[in-house]
Amino acid sequence: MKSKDIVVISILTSLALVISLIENYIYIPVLFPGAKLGLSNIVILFTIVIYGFKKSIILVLLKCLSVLLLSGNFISFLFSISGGIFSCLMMNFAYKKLANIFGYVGISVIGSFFHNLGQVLTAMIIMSSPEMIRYLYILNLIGLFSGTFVGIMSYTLVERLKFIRSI
Amino acid sequence: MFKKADYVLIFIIAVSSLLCIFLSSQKMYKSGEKYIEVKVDGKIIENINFNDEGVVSTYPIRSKYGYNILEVNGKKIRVIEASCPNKIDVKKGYISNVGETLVCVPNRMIVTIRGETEKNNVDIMVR
Repeated sequence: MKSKDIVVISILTSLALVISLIENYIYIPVLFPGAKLGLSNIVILFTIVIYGFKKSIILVLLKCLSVLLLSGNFISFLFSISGGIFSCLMMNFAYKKLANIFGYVGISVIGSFFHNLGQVLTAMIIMSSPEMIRYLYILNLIGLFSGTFVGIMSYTLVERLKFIRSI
Repeated sequence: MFKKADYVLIFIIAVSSLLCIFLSSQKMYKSGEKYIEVKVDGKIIENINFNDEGVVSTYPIRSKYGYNILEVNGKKIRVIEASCPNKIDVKKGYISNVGETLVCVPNRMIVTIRGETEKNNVDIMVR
């Protein structure tokens, strides 16, 4: 790995971290407690489009580990890493194979769907209770809105920062 | 940014999750007297009955994962104290309808409001 790649990944990781830390302070009364907007997925989708699969996976891993170090909360680490890896893999797949069918919004909604699925599966395993699946339906409804927003934001970001590829 | 398939995808997810919410709440509503079921790690450890209006009582739930203190206030219940770091269950506040849950993942605790089912009722057999 070249030193340029290391710098790029560190910058993107810190961006994603700052966004997810700030997001913790946004209180939205409509959502039930525990649900988050997932705005840091803007950075992840951007990385997938501009830098490809490998860097995006490294970014997700680094982001989850840093959040663990900052918060010291192991259970939420399990949630963020299962959802993060799952959604990152599926967004990569969607971007590579289905990009002529789905736009950015579709890819991002797919990502948010699998993020929720990964988290609910983790919850079902931790709590050893299949009833947790009921949370998936509500999370998916909320995920539609945040997924659409993330898709629009990443599209705007990619359009404006395309030139970064050639640097 | 938007393609045709995106709208289709959003529509499918919205309809299917709304349908699932509707179906899973339907199943819960044919019920008589309500009670509270407390599960830790997938096992039922306590069943609590609701109080009369205006009576408040607290129930500590302790397990090897941590503790939660439940407060039953008349026909509604909430978690007032918990050993978990995020306190998501405390922030959720009161619940009172059949099928609603209070979940504390670090302590593996699920509090569900259930309706008492009458064994001889034909309606119950159908579901």
